[in-house]
Formats: sequence, C-alpha cells, structure tokens
Amino acid sequence: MIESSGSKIIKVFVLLLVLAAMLLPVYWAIISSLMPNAFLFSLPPHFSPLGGSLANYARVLKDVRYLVYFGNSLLVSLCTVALCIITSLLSGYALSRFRFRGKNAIIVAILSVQMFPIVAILISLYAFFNEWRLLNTYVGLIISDTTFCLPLSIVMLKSYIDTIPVSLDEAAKIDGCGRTRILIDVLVPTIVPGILAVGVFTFLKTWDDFLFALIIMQSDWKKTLPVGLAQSFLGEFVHDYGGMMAMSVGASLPVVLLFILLQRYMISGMTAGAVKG
Amino acid sequence: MIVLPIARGIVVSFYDCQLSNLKNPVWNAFENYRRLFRSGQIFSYLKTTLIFVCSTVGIQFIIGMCIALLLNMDVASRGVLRGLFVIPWTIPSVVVAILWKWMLQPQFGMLNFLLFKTGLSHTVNIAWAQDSMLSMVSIVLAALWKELPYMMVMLLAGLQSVDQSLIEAASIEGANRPQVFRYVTIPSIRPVIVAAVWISIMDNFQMFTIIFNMTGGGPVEATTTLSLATYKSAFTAYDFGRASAIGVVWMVILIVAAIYFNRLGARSTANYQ
Repeated sequence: MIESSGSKIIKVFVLLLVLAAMLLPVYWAIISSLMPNAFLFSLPPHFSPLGGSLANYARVLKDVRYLVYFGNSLLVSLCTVALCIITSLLSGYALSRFRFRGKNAIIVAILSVQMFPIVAILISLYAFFNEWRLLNTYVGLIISDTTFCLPLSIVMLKSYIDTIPVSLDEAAKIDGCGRTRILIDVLVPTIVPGILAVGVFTFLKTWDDFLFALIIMQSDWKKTLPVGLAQSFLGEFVHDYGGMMAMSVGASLPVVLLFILLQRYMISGMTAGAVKG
Repeated sequence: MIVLPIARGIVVSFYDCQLSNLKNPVWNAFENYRRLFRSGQIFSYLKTTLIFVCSTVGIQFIIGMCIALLLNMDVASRGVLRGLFVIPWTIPSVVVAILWKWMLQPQFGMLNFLLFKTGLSHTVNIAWAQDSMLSMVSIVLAALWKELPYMMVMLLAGLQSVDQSLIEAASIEGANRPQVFRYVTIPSIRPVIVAAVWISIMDNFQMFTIIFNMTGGGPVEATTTLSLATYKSAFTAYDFGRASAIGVVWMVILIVAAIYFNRLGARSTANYQ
C-alpha cells in the first residue's frame, strides 16, 4: 500500500513520542543516580543532572555487601545458564529426533509447568529443601532457577533443531558418527543462534529472579542482587534515593548490555516459541 | 522438582499445618478451604488478581498492537527502534519496582510533577501508596512498562510473517485499511495473538516481585493478589495449610483457563490452516 508522506511523518512522530515515554524512566534512573540526594529532593525536580557526579556510585561500591550480592547473582546466573543449555539441548534433541510414545503428552506437560503458581510450589519446595539440606545453598537456588527456565528453553531448542533437515544427521551417521557425535559436532554448530538465545534468555530470567532467592537464600552473604537491593533500599525509613538509583543502574547494566550485544538472537528467541511453535 | 511439590502442596492443603505443629500436621477436614470461602477472602484475592491481570494485559495488548503496527511500516531504522523499545523488558523487576516507586514518590516524584504541570492533577502531592485505587494503578503502570516490549515484539514478528500477497489481493478487491486489518491481518496472526496474550496472562497471574516491592499487597489488602496472599500466609503467618489451599484453588482456576485457551488456540489454527 502506498502511503502519503504526510501521514508517514505523523506516524514516525507518534512512534518517537511513545519511544520517548518508554525511555523516560530509564533516563530518570540514570540522572537520579548522578545527582546528590540534596538535589533529588527538590520541587520542581531537575530534569538534567545538576551537580552531576559519580559520588553515589562510589559510596555504594564502598559497601562490600553489594559486591558480594553482585558476585552471587553472577555465579547463580552463569551456572543456571550452563545447566539449562546442557539439559535443554539433550531433551530438545530427544524430542525433535526420536519417535516414542507419549511424546506430545510430554511436550504439553513441559509447557504446562510454566503456568503453575511458583509461590504455591515454593511452599512445599521449602519443606523439601529443608529436609534435603538445600536451603541457603547455591545448589538449591540453581536447581530451582533451572527448573523454571527449562520449559521455554527446551521448546525453543526443539524448534531450532526441527529446522535442521534430518538428512544432515543421516549423512553423518553414514560417515560413522554416533548419536553423541552427531549432536555435538553436527547439530550444535548449526544451532548456535538458538543456543545463544536460550543462554541470554535464561540469564535474563535468573538475574531477574526475586522469589526463589528471597526464600532459599537466607544468610546475608548468599543473597543475590535483587533481594539485596530490595532489602537494603525499600525499607520504610530509607531515603538514600541517589544510592538506590546508582545500585539499580548497576544491577540493570549487565543485562541491558548483554541484550544490546546479542539483540538479534534474543529477539528471534523471544518469538521462536510462539510464532513457530 | 515439579510433581513432588505439587503433590505435597495438595496434601498439606487438607491439614492444619502451622509453625507450632510443622512436624505433625493434623487433618482438619477441609477447614482451610471452608475458612477461605466462608470469609470470602479467596474471592477478594481472586478479584484483585483479575483486575490486575485484565487491566495490565488489556492495555498492553492495545498499546503493543499500535506500536507494532507503526513499526511494521517501512521505517528506515526499524531494528534500532525495536531494540530501544525492548530495553525496559530487560531491566530486572526489582529495579522496575524501585524505579517506579521513586517516580511515584509523593513529595518529590517526577510523575506527580508532570501530572500537575500538564493539568491532569490539581495537586502535586498524590499519595499513590495510600489510596487503594491508585496503588493498583501504580502496580499496573510498572508491570505494563516492563512487559509491553515483549507483547510488541511478538505482535511485530506476527505482523511481519503475514503474507503480503493476501493484503495486496484484498486491497485490489477494494478493501480499505481497517477492513484489511480486520479480515486479513488479524486472522492470519491469530495464533500469535493467542500465544502472546496467554503468555502475558500467565506472567501477570504469577506477578510477585513488582507488587511485593511496590505495595507489599497494601494498603490494607487492596493489592493482595493470589500470589501475594499465598506468600503472606506461608512466610509471614506461617500457616502452610492455608497457603497451600490458596495455591490449590489457584491451580484449579488456571487449569480451567488453560483448557479454554487451548481450545481457542486449536480453533484458530484449525480455521486458518
């Protein structure tokens, strides 16, 4: 359809306006993190960083706890990503290539896991972890996070493997490859975008996780960033908004950067499950 | 990891299981359920959840569709624009909660100031957290801001997969823009719409982080959704029986909804394949 250039200009204008509204909170977080608290509590608010300095960041970084939270989050997220990729690669392969009874039932069951209320499951999980001595351990948190990232990862990788023709497998088989070799040497290199998408997706979800970490990690030194952030800044009488915003920007930076770097894979991954499957 | 906790949850929901008798729960003959229903609390939690889910998902869908349609035209830098739109989605929920709490801060909040300046509000000190209606609005705003990009990206991907020749054919037949949209575009992306809306409903039904950190379920119980209610009964009141009972009711509702949605999805693929 041919559009008049006038209506197109209006549309682009509207688009940019909506974009500005969407990004305003991000801008607000950044400039708040750059201003000393005295400037934050003023009316009218300053819309440009007055007396901009990195003092808030320096103050927050001096507190060792935040570095520990950051490290914990990184450790848990990376382990979850690794575990999730390995598991979903194997199960995605099995679901895509093998034919067996009840396959569809398994896929439906995997997908329905996503909708079960996490809070309700956590109550019993808490009791189990208490018996198994997994409370307050990294292993406990990593297992829980993995469980809830897996359904989507499995379906995503399955749909990626589905797009690779079976003839490639067969050719490798004729050349004398076993199942493991086919998976590692033939399939994995061809579905790198899918694996990256699953990786970034899992990282984002785990980095974002609040509920599991809140209940499983109880000692202060094992808390992850979201829990640490919420518990140190969301108290009734906390007024260090500058430090709070500095920490928030710091906590968002890794995921936003990761997203910008791997945007292409991410967006194909976000839509893969729904549009193709 | 999944089946075991669910089974145990169902069992516990029939017992009197509190902190005082954690080790030896007592069978209390549906008392957990009876109390929930008799006091009507379960209905109020459900109502709050539905208000939150419907308004978030509904607004998200409408705005998401508008942005997706705008981005679907020939914009020179669609990739960059789309990337910029998605940034809020990557920001951790806790940060989203903190950020919106700061923007809605009653005395020095930026949003209050903007509302006042644009004449939408006659006072510059709106106490968002004190009013039950406004606190609901505030959590919807925050959730909307975070999740809108996901909806938009899904719908955009759907729109781009629409067969252009169908649209051309329809225009040649004399269909105007709204008609093309209604009778060609919507039907061809219907599976995507069903999937995107369903994912969004699921996410918001579960929503805990933003609500917990922004309002904590308050004021009084105005924003206590099912997930907040379950959490509070289990980990604040330590009444695991009651919490599990809420969880079970919630699961039943979800299963019914899932079956209904599955039919909807199945019908849409059957019609347009």
